Amino acid sequence: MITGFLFVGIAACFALLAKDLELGTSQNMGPGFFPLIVVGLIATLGLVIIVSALHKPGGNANAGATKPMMWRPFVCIIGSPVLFALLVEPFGLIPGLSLSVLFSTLGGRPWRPWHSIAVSALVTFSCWLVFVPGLGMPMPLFNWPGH
Amino acid sequence: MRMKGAYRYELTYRRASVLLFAALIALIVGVQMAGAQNIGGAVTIVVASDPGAAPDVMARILSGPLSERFGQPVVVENRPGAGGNIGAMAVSKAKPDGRTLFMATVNMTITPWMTKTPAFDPAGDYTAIGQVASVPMVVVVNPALGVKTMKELVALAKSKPGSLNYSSPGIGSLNHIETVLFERATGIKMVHVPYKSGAAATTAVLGKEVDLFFAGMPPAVPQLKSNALLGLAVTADKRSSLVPAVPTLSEAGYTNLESDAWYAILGPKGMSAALVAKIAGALKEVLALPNVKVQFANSGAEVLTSAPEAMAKLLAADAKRYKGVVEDLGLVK
Amino acid sequence: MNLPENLATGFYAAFSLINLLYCFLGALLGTLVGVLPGIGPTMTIALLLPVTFTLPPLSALIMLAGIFYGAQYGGSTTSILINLPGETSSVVTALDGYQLARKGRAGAALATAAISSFVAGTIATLIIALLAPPLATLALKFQAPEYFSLMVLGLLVSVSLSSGSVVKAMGATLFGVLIGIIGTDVTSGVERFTLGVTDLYDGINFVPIAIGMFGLAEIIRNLGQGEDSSRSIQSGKLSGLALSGRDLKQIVGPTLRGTGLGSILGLLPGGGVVLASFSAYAVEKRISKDPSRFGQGALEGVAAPESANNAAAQTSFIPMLTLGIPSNAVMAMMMGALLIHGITPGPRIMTEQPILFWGLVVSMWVGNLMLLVLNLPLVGLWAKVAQVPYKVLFPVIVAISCVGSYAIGLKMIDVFMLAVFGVVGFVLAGLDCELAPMLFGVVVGPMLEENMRRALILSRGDPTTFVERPISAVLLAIAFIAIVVAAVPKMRKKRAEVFSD
Repeated sequence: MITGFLFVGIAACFALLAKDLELGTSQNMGPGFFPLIVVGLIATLGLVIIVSALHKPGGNANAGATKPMMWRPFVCIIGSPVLFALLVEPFGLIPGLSLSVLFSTLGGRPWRPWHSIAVSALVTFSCWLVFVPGLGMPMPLFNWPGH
Repeated sequence: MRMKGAYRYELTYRRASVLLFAALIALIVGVQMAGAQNIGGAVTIVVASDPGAAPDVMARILSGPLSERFGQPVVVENRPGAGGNIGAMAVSKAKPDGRTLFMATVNMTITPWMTKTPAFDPAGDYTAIGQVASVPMVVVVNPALGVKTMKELVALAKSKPGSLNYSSPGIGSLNHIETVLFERATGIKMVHVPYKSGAAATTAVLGKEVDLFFAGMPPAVPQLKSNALLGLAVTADKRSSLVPAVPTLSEAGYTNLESDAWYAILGPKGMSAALVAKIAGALKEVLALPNVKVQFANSGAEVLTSAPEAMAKLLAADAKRYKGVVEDLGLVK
Repeated sequence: MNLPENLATGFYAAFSLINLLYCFLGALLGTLVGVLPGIGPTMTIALLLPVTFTLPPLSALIMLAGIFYGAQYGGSTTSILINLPGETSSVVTALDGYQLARKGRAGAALATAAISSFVAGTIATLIIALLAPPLATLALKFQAPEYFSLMVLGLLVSVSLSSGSVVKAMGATLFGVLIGIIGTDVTSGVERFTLGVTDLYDGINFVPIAIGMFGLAEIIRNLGQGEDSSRSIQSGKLSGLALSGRDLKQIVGPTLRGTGLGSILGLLPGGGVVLASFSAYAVEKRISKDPSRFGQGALEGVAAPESANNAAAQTSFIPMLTLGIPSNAVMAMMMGALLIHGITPGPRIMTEQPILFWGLVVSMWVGNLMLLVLNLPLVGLWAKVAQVPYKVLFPVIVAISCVGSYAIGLKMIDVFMLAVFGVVGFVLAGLDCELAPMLFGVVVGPMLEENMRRALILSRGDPTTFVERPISAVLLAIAFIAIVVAAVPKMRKKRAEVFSD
């Protein structure tokens, strides 16, 4: 049932973003025509899911997967690329990668600090080896902010 | 493969493969290192297109000889996107220390005007170093269309207004703009069908999906050479050495419609005159090399050099010209 | 056409020591590059392009070609071992391949991928040798209406990619379509859904979407199990690396079918390896006697897409060589390389440059053979990856995902998208929505719209163009039949339920 709401929500978001797009006619479609159809379909499907979920009496044993939310892995694994993106341009590949990998290791338990540092160092070195001299990618290694 | 003997065989085979693998990785790394990838001191040519597109290929052709002359590695960096805006914006923000160069195309004088606030100023945000090539457009049609000259094409278009289709690599591309200007000059009306790339637009003519295309040279050359497509005119002021049989637009009877897709090397604004002169000098030498000329020619481009001042003038003139054209054609979003 | 003579010419050219060396280098490099997410054959070939200027044209082509189809081999390796598609065409391989790895059968999955790729490569080479010119003209017949109908068929088939609720699959696919639409609209030049962010003007790159949804989301789930992350992803022992006779029998059919489908889809400009692998998987699942095995670790689910993407990679050479039409970015670059050497692709290339053409064709087969010989013994080594303690493995996965995404265009946005779609993948999987249909929507949706609007422009607004043209009509008819066939049993069941109340 949550899926149904999600679908309707997605449809609403995209519809909002598309409100300024011209529709055109069905003979001469504008940029907004197709998205409108797709959005409409998603919303319909969402409603269908919600309605059919309401009809099933108590059959929601698996409703929305009520597993406990795994916050720590989630934050660490999603946060890692975000951190990398923010760090790599101002600070370069080496600091960016090592710090974000370090952050990601916080997601595993039990957390062993030395292990994390070792793994980050090793991983950063290997990635550098493969991508920069190995494949010739022009990535800055070290930078100062404002460069 | 299920016998014990086979397993033992697999083990030694496996060890050999591991060693081989490791050796190869070492080899690759070694080769690269031997090429002195000291990224810190390298000169970067930013290309605002995907790898494999014409500006990218040209930048790569130049990078080897240029790095010999600079005594530093020259690296090509692809920054595609937004019709070339992303690459152009990246360069406009770089330091004018000669380490960042831009493989610019005439598109950069067109795309900024298509948005209400231009993403950059083509004339003001850059230092011109020199033109490197000119890539004229050629009007191609499928032989099955039945026309053999531009005049016949125009006659056909006039007899059936709104029925001929033409392709382009995208709305606001030079090809599109040229076609529209041609329509206006001759008073004909055709229907525009945009595609994602020059190759797709050329394929469309080949497959008879559209009737004509003001094609850039690179995707059109193979088709013209094999006579799969017919070239009616080139948009430059002289004939192209690649397809010498195709007349110029003037020769075909339509004057004042020449346009030229120039390719040039630019730098961020504020570069010192000495630096510009040094790079321009190296560029000129490289472009005079016979094998560079041949490679450019094979890709559809004629090497055409110009001094920094001349290039700066061309840049400013085109920026002004296309600003007017874009506004005139109502392409501003 | 004198086939034996031509093949002899080709063998002679391909088996020169230099060309064998370049073939091997290309294939190996391609495999390595295919394994890494974000770096793909396109970028590698671009980097090596200047090197090829100095090489003789045949050697240059052989090496570049090796990189291309080698990448298809390599991409499946990480898909299977760590649920991280190294290449976009290997996304589907992850669905069953990774499950096989978890069950300790990584070796079997990897061996299947290698063998089916080789068989596909061999057959595709024969197809090129025998049928290149007629196939090329077939490619030209595909225009906007035909592409539209093909995409419609593809989307319907993709819904059947999921084992769960059809409604959810349809919704996921449509969501994918919306994601795919983000960016500049070709037909009108307008930016859609970009929120004014310049970096999104060309849409979201497929790679971060795929590795975020598959790779990162999987890591979160694994870590969230709460177990000690010293364990590995593999539960149970590592069973035999070899394929039993029964396994081999299982993969024959899917391999052949995948090859056929891939060969055709590779021809179409814009079709390509991604479409081929997705479609082959979906078709295989549709015709399987027990579709529920798919997604749990069915070998067919590895054989079909792997053979399809390899076949497609090879047949995509046909339009480029014989017509000068590049079907994808890699072909565009190869064409550029050819032109620089002064060789013009076109209908006369087979007669004017027989050594080049046949040498290339034969070397493609040789490269496939080399890859098989290289990869099969390494299967054991690769399979051990599934046994690496997770606490070491997952930071590696995160690192290569980040660097790979950044390497695409050196833009931060691609890495941000990686994170965003990690979230999306996690949420969707948590709701039992399947991921593959969504990815398919991302690829196919924009193409469907572009071709629909283009077809209507060309027909001046007349929708009958889709059924007037024979190929298009046939494709739509197949799509219609597919819906009916799928829906009728359901309706009968519903009716039976109603009547039994």
